Formats: sequence, C-alpha cells, structure tokens
Amino acid sequence: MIDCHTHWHPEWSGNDSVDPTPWLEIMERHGVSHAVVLPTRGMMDDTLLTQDNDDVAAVANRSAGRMLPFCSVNLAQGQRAIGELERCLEVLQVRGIKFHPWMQGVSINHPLMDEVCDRAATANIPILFHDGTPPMSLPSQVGLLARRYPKNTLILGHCGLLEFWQEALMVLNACPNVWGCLCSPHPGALRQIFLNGPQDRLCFGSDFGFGMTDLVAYRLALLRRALPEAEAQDLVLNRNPKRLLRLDEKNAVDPS
Amino acid sequence: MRPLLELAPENLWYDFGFVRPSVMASYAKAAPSRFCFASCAPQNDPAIELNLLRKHIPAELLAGVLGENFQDFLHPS
Repeated sequence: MIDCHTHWHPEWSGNDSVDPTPWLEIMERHGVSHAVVLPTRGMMDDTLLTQDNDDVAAVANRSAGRMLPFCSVNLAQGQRAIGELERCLEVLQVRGIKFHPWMQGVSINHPLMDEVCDRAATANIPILFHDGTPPMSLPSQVGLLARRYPKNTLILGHCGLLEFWQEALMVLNACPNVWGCLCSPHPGALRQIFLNGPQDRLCFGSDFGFGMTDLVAYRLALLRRALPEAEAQDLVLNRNPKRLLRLDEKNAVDPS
Repeated sequence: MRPLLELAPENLWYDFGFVRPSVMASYAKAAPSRFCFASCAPQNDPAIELNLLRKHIPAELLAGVLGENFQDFLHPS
C-alpha cells in the first residue's frame, strides 16, 4: 500500500533529526510500503525551507526507499527559489514538488510557476498542491495551471477537502494531467469522486506526520468505508500510485 | 479554530462534525459544556465517528458531549 500524502517533522526522531525509525514503524503497522514525504516546517517558515528540504531528503535516504521525498520552495523568494529547486532536483534527487499556496502566501499563478513547471516536466516528476482552501488553494486554480501545462503531472493534494470536492471532481474530469489524492474529503465525497471521476488517476493520502498523531488508521477507515470493493481499494492504494510515482521503474524496497 | 477556542465566547456552541479525532480532546477541554457529538451522516459513517469520539474524548466529558450538553442547549436552566 502506498500513502501519497505524508509529512516529515523532526519531532518524529527526537535528537537525531533524520532517523525515520519511529515514523516507519507506524507506517508498517498499517501495511504502508511506500509514502510520499512532504516538508512541514519550511512551508510554515520559509527561512527553514532549505533545512527542511535537506531533512526530508536525508530521512528518505535512511528509509531503504520507502520514503519518497518531495521538496518545496517559496516563489516569493524569486530566483533564489528557482536555485533551491534546482538544488533539490539535482543534488537531493527529490521525487516531486509540493506547494502549499495559502500557507506559503504565494499564488498558484505566480509568474515563476512557469519555470517550476518547465523544470518539473523535464525531470518527469509531479507537483502536488494543497487544495481546498480559498482564496489561494482552489482545485480550479490548479486546473487552470494544468491546462497551461499539459505536459506536467499535477496532484490535488486533498481533492478539495470537505467543501470543494465537487470542484475537484470537475477539474479531475476536465484535465487529464491532474491526479486526485483522496486525503480529507468525507466518505460520501470520496465515493462520488471515485464513481464519477477518473478512477485511474486517484490515490490515497493520510496527511500523516502533520502533527504527532496517527492519522493513517483514521483516513484508511474512511477510505475503506467509502470504497469497500477490493478492486477499488487495490486501484487507489496500490496500482495507481505505483504508476504516478513510477515505483516499478525507479525503486523497490531495498531488502537489506 | 484555536483562536476561537481561546476566546471561548459563552454563547457559542460547537459540534464535532468533520473534526479530526486527533484534536477532539483539546477542543472538548476548551469548552466542555458546549461541545456536542455530530456524525454528519449520511456523508460520514456514524459508527466510525462515534467510535472515534469515544476513544478520544476524556471519560469525564463524554456524557456531556453525547447528549447532556445538547439538552442544556435546548432547555437552558
């Protein structure tokens, strides 16, 4: 099973800020083999962003391939942000990029987003957006970006949260390069998105790590309530995210 | 939500519909006599929500959240 929306915070490892052991133990308890790992502190305070990107990459390097690091940059920093993005792609070898537009205070349509999309397309990695929070993080805003950049793969990190899941569904159906991470809508919405949306572009996410509680059990229970069919669960929990993250091509779990 | 709970105006009541279980206890402690259970069924599964609530709300606050608070809301003394 693959969790496409988790966060890393150094609190998980006490004094050693890049020890993934306690974090991975929770994942293993729920049968999660791989997880997308997003920064946390750097999105709240951009002076910590470089350190946060380093920490996420370092902890992933100690996870035997189970943690797939995504980086973030703050486009309000101008070309410095593009420089940090290039460092993350070339040196840290991140597997994707995360933006949290309302928390980072940067519009999805920031002029530098063009450069981000160009680089992400060249590197063949997805861009995951927090979505579902007006005025700067709406699914339709991600949809407009997706129309401008059809070669990019964009992910709605929350499928509209609780209030904008219908908008997320419209975007998913209108934009073949947009994926939906089923992380946070209620079970009724999760089922509608699955039944009426692109079933081959949906994946599961728990938001685990954003805070110190175990969100995986909770979000899995909601998902299984919404999608009781084994085939649907296999699609969303395994087959789709493997394709999204190119797991079969790039890495399997290192048995050592 | 946190600033609102810190203000805790006495004429404001709350329900637990769509609230993440991990924050339920801290919410309930902020206004123990004005939080009520809500499942948001049929969008949510009431059994899952009720189980989570029982697991996360401190025992001494449970009776209030599960009904007594709402009764006070309907029939203030």
